[in-house]
Amino acid sequence: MTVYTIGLDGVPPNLIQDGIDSGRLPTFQKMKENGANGFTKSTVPPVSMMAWSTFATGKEPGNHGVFNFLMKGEDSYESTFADSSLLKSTATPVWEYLDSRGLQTGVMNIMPGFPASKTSGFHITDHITTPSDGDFAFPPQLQSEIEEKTNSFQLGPLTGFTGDSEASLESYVDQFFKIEHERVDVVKSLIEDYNCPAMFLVFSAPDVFLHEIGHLLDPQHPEYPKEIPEAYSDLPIQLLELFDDFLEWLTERMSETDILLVLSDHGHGPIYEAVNLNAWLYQSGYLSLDSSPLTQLKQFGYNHIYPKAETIMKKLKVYHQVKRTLARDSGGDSGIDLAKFLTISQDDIDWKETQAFTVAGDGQIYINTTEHPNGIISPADYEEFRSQLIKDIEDMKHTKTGESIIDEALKGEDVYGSEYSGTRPDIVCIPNPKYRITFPQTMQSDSFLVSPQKPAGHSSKEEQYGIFYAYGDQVDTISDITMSLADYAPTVMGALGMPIPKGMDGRFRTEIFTDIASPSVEEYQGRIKAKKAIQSLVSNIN
Amino acid sequence: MTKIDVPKQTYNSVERVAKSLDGFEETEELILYILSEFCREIDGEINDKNEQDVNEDDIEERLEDLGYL
Repeated sequence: MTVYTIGLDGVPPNLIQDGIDSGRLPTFQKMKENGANGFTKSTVPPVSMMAWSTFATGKEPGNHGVFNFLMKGEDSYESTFADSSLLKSTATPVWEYLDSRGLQTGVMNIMPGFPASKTSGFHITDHITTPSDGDFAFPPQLQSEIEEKTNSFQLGPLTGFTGDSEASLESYVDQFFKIEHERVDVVKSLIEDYNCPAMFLVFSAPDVFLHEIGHLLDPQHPEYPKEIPEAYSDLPIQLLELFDDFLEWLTERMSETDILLVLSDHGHGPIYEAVNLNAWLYQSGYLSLDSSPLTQLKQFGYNHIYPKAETIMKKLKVYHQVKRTLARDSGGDSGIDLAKFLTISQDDIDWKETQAFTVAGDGQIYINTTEHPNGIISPADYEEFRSQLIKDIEDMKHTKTGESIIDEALKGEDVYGSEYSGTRPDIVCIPNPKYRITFPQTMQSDSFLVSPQKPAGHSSKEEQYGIFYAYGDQVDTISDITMSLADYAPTVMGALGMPIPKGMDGRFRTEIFTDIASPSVEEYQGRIKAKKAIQSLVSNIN
Repeated sequence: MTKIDVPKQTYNSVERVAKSLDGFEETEELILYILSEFCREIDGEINDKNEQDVNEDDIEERLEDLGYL
């Protein structure tokens, strides 16, 4: 028996429905008519790193502690990127639980996936956290096997569509589809070669593709390219046809005991404008910048010179190249760190005068409490201060149209609890549709509204729902199921007849099966502790 | 299954650990688990000696490509 869990990152339910209605996604139609279907509710906000961490561990974000791609340190202004070691310091991925019970698993592209788990079966790391020269597969020989089988295996989908002509779009799309066809072929051979009882295989292509060309679906989008024919709005469904074909291949080879689960970790929608929260906090008096001449010079540059230079560079199509060159330059032989010299970053914040700040995108705000080295908000003032800040955030208006930007601002503990109160945000801002809260890599101090980095994304409540399908002889025919991302791990374990580990927040979704009994809940910590002791021993041997 | 003999003293030690670790009902289960996991880890280390760290520049570049930075 095998339980296949196929992730299609970022696929919105309405796109699948459009494909079914037009008869172009027959396998999705088959799964809908002969299995269970509904929605997958994402995390708040729907950030892929947090979402897939929840999927992998069966724990809600407040209990695994991975809140974003970039994580603020406890009582510190420093931040680090999330990786699998961070996730595994607080929670255990479902494939490691299954491994501890002797079950082989196949895992591909579930962030944070690097370094790979050394579990029996195979583990291919994700396209975000894997270093460009790092090993992406375990067992190690799998990497060379994949590279030998393919012309140029890419761990992640192709990004960087910046053109506005039909020819540039066609060139990008051809290359994108070529890479994804190759990836599907690799996955098919992994399924055939390894035959694991549990497979967790995620394709990031839909999310990346929609980030790049999602505006082609929306003629009202400010970046809608009038030079490109409307027919190209069909491209996302063309991509889904590739996965529909793959799912057809998979369903045809399934035995009567096999089960297929298909999900997306969130939806997708157009983004018209973005908010730089640190810039808004600065303009609202909550964040202060250093008064040094360099910071003042940079402020002048960002407010008066850089936007014009950016416009010219974009017209000359050299903007992204220049930006990347600057961002990558950390000094080198010149001794001048251009990235720091040209961006208004955390180094420019006057912490002794700052009450609140953000370190990553998607609306997670931290209050500069006295637990921080230069914190100024005392425990006695915290609640009153936060209430005022929430009120001001919810009153945020578009400077030209007066339109409300923020749907709601939530207290951190109401969203994530208090298990990781030292690193979890104090406030979580959910923007209205068509807005995104951008990463504060730099900022214009006189404007908080900026162009979005990509024309489509997933930020508002509308994009918090992804797809859910279940298929197989043991799956009931039922609609309108809403799966939490945390439900997948216990549901897979239960379907395999394994006890569910204590501490998972998700639950076994018995209603989607015809005749699978609810599993028991058991303690796994002994196995995990024994395994960690062995790993520690072995790593010290070498 | 191949049978192996374990010295009484070792068996007693493992039995004590099995009782203290939640999740192992029998001593034999822990002995089997330790042996199989130890071999797998050793095998993994032999094939994969270079423990690699995350490269923050690479992640930053990737997130920038994807529009997150």
